Amino acid sequence: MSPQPRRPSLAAMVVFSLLLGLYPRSIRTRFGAEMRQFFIDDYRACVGVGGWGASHFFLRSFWKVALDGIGARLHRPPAGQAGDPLAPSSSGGAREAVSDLGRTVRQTVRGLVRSPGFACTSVLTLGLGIGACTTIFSVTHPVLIAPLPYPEPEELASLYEKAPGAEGRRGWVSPLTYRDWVERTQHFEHLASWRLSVLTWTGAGAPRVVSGWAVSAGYFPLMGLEMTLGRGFTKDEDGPGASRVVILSHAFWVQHYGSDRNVLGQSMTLDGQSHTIVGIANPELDFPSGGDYWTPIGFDYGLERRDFRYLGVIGRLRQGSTLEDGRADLGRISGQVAQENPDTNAGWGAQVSGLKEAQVGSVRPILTGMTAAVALLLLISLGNVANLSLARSVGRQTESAVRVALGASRGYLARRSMVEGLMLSIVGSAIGVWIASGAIRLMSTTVLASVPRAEEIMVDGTTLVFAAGIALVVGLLLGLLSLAVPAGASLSDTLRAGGGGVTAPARAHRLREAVLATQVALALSLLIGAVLLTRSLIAMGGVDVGFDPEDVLTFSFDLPGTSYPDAESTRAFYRDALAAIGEIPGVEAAGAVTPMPMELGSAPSSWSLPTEVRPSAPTVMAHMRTATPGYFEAMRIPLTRGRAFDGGDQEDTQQVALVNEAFVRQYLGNLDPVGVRVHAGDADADRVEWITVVGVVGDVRFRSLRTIDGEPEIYLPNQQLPTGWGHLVVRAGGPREGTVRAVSAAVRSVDPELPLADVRTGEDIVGRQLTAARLSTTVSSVFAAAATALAVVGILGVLSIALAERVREIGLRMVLGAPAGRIRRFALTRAVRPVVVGLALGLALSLAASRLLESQVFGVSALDPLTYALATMGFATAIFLACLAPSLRAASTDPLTLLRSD
Amino acid sequence: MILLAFAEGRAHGYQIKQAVEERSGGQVRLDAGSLYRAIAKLLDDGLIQETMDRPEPSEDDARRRYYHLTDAGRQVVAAEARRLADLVEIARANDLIEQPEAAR
Repeated sequence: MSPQPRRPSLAAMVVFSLLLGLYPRSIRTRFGAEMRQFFIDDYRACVGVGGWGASHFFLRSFWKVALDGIGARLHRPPAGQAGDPLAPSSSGGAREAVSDLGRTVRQTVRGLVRSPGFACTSVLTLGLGIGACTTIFSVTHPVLIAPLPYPEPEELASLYEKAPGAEGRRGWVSPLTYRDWVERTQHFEHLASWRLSVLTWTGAGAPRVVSGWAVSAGYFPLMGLEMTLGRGFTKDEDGPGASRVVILSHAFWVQHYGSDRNVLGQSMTLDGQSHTIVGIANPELDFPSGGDYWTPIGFDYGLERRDFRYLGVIGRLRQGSTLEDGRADLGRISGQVAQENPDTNAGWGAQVSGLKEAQVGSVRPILTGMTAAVALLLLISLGNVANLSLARSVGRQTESAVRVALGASRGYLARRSMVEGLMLSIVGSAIGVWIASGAIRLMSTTVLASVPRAEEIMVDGTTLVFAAGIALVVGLLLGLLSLAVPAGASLSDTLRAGGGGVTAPARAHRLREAVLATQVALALSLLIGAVLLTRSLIAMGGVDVGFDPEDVLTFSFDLPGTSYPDAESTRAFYRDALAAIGEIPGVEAAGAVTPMPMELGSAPSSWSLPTEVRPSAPTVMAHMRTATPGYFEAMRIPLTRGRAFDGGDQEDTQQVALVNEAFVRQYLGNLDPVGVRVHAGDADADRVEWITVVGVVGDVRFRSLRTIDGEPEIYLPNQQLPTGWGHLVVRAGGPREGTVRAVSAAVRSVDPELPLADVRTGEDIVGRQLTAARLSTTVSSVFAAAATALAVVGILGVLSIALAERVREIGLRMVLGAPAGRIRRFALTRAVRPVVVGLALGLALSLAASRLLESQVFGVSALDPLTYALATMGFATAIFLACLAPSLRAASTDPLTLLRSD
Repeated sequence: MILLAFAEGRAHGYQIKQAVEERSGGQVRLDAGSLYRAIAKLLDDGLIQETMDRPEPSEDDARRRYYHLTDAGRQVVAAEARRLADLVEIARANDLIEQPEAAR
């Protein structure tokens, strides 16, 4: 457990400061700063270790200060009445205020119990709104708001190389360029590099694949967290032929070594070689995320190439240097490097982004959109409850007027409104927190799994503070809103009208219409957003991914260098394993590919075409894959021209390649691709091996479904370039479990030590791309449905109130002979004006917010007119139908009943 | 009770809370609001005043204010203590509470 911070969180301080606003100004200005200090001292004294202690403390402190503040404001002792200065700790004013408050609370509770419909509707509506807000807050807070758990996190940055060209995609870094950065930087105090490492762990039960990170020696000091046990890597360990030492992640240590503190110095067999455990990392250390271990990266710079880019780089800025300084710094160095190495680095730049941004930047738009959506939802539910309590306070106006006439102070009435608002919102908040914890539990295993820093998402003390803060704001707003009514009506007028007044005060009426219009506007914009996202999801589902995912199973593998030291043994593995898999009954086709589409590890590299083919720019970028002949069959990737790989493409035959259609489209135009020669690397490389293109295959959308066109790819036969890691791809009908078992057995028959990992279906692979889209669509659809329902309920409520107020008027009109049709119209027009205004506002709001959605929608414009029209019409129809029933009822009532109603 | 907390010299808000809590055996717990409203009243009545006599900077915090008893405050504490002592005497004389050990 990490030590409790020495101060309450910023959110708690903000809530406390807001609550201080309840005190009269005189106390606030004199003692505000000290009371805050008191709160901090109290926190330090009271809060031990653990989240519940803190939240308990916050709730208690906030409750006390709120009560006391209200008490102080309502019961300022009249000037001159000093009270007993010797017993100030039991200050009479405060005690009286509290007991007075207690009385008000009891009265309010009685009042609410007497109108259970109002109380339940309000509390549930608020609970829904606050629940949605709290849910999204508990996602947003750790992911977007809370700082990373490292010392001075704002100094940390992710560094990338940036490919030439307009796109300027950021990419990994070559070790040689990394060395130049380290030697020449002026604004980074430290740089460290890392790369993915996947090893086979043997000697502890069944062999298993573990994955971690190979890092340079500077990594641990740079991250700045203390080790749980042992030490980081030394400079000596991080040299050519890296030492066999390993540092375990805290989670891995707990899970596999049972937190055994004697683990230091023990050895662990990774890829057949014994490694000494020298340290256990800090539990907070989670960069790059989710590794089991760290090993030294141990470059031999002499063997590296400047155009072989595969490193992640992280840097810590010097004190006083900004990200901008860092950018300028690396820009300058990249310029120098490009000048010194024009062959490999011409046009290459560098990109620097804050570590937090680099980690969570991808989900920021989704979460921002959701935050906006839940804020809208909360506003709508607030509007509903406001309208309900407005109607209620109008109804109680006579009662209030009588109370005032009998001597109740306006202060008392104000207090009652405030207490009522607060009680509704506090109960609503409790329901909201309950909804949120359920929602988080439900989502954590499904949609949230793909969100960065997901392990920190939970309903904790901060969330409770947030919910309490919302409750407070909502409660005060509600109280103020219902205060607006009695304050506006003159006392004697209200009494004279005797409760039988023809209409409610115009002011209340206007207020209600305004609230209603706002609700309609907010609900409509949510609805439009949801329709756009749903259409995107449908469009995405319809995207041709370029292969047939049905009945496909994939397995990842990684051949350890010790058992497979050379190309020959690697080839033998592919030959034997694929042959064994092919004999399994039901298997239609099997192959292997490196790297798998839609998986990590695919970065474009440079390839060159003969100058007669592309005179102006012979060097092109394409993703390289190695594949066996069976791969295309198993994936059902169509061959559109020439021939596929076959058994005849061997080590000693002509070097051949397949390209995809995107490659042809982008680089070859109308030229016949079959027979064209390419080679790896840049055009003016000294020694090149030409490879002949023998065929063209279809595009596979491998990076993400959002890429409209496929990206250029080039496939080399695995026999000619055997690769020790990749995925086996098997197409087999029949039950999946059986196939998985049979494939594992077949591979074990070839190499009993080799684990297969990460079994997936083709649908999984495609589905993962859809997850993020599904997440935002599902959530926003739920919100939109809730918002529409709430808005319709709100409109219904307002309409029936408006009609009830006009009962006498309607009765009079009917008695005077107005036809039923006109009465219906009269009733309907009550609702029409605010709805029309609301719809117009909603459209404007959606148009203004469409930029927020642009990055989220796919295959449909964020300004799609059809969507806007459909949503607006649908919404208007729903409202119209909802209003019809009360209007009809109004028109069919017996006029005498209506007239007698007072 | 709060005034008594100043008997040992200057104190800041949280120290007063702790002193009161300690002396009352945890019976009286002050929160920020009631404490500072009491302090406000004592300041207004001239029984305490703010002091510039602050602790060493290493133990200090600029946000804290320190208070000590004024002469009037001292007199009031003394008078109140006497009054309470008299009350205790009367109670003892009438056997409402036990005699202290030493008196037996």
